[in-house]
Amino acid sequence: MSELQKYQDKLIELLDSEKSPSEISRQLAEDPDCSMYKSYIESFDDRMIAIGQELVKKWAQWTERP
Amino acid sequence: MSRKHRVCKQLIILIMQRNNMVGQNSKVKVGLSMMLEDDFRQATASLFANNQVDVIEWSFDTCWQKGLMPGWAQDLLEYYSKQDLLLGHGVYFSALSTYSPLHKDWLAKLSNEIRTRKYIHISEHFGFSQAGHVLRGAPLPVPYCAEAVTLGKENLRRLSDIVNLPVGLENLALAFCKEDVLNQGIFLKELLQEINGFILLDLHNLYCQIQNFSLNPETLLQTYPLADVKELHISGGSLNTLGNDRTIRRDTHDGDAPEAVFTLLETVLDLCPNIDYIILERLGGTLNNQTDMANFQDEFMRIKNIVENH
Repeated sequence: MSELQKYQDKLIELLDSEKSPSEISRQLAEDPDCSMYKSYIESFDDRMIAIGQELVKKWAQWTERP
Repeated sequence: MSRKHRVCKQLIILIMQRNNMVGQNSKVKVGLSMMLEDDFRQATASLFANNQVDVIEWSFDTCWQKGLMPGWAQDLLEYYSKQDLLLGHGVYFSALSTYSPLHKDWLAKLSNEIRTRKYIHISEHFGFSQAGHVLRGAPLPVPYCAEAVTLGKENLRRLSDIVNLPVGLENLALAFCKEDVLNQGIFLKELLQEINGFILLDLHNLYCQIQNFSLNPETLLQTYPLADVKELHISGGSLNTLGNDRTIRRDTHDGDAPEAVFTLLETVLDLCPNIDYIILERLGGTLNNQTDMANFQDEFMRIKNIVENH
């Protein structure tokens, strides 16, 4: 599995959670599978993460939830 | 056949009989994003009847699961397809996800779709929506990196090879950071280069970023390869109020287009020499009353007037 795919998988799982935006970016930045994108993740705007959470909850169609 | 369908079918025939030259005299064609809901039908009936809609854009993959569509919508799509005035705009391809059986299935369905209807071009969305256990959803931003560019190019090549039509990507409103905003233009250029693709520039998506990240519109526009823009989207949205009374502009397609988007339109018409199509978008089910419908019609005619007088 590529680095990008690991990051996307982790991101979408966290966006589906009830965690706060700051907790999401913290967990993502600290995840060893996302180390390549650490500085990018650390620049995330909490407001935009909150929008991402809303979009995933509203529109995502799942095979099964983890 | 229901009475509603009979009336709509008669309307289509009337359009056909009155004018077979829809849009052919305009350099820039102005059209609508096709919706299946009855409020859209009501709001746009006079625009179609008066031959104002040069072109239709259809999100073909939104119907693959649902199956049947209203007869009036089917007739409109068929008419515009036969007139070579139908644009295709996919929603669920997820161009920047790792290639998977879902992509293969989507491409197979698209191959069938273009045998059923004739499209001028096919566009999709920048971003990814498939990952982990998520089959599809709203597109999300992707880090601008070599792996993402390579992956996206490969997916777009697969799409381009299937359709043998021009392929484009629409810019995304959501950005996790300013870096996402400022890199999107160059990211799109690199993704589309090898297939000679085009950019579908959504002006309300740009406006969301301008508002949410306090950017200068002209500065943001200059980060895009403006000569590659062949289509524009115009729409409205909404404001989300978060904690600390901060408001975020959202691209929800459920409101009137802000005045600033019309200002952007005038600017972009000056800066982008190769625009062929402008599409007004509004989600079906959000034109709740006669005022909403009248405003929508006025927006459409305002776009037409701007184009004609530009």
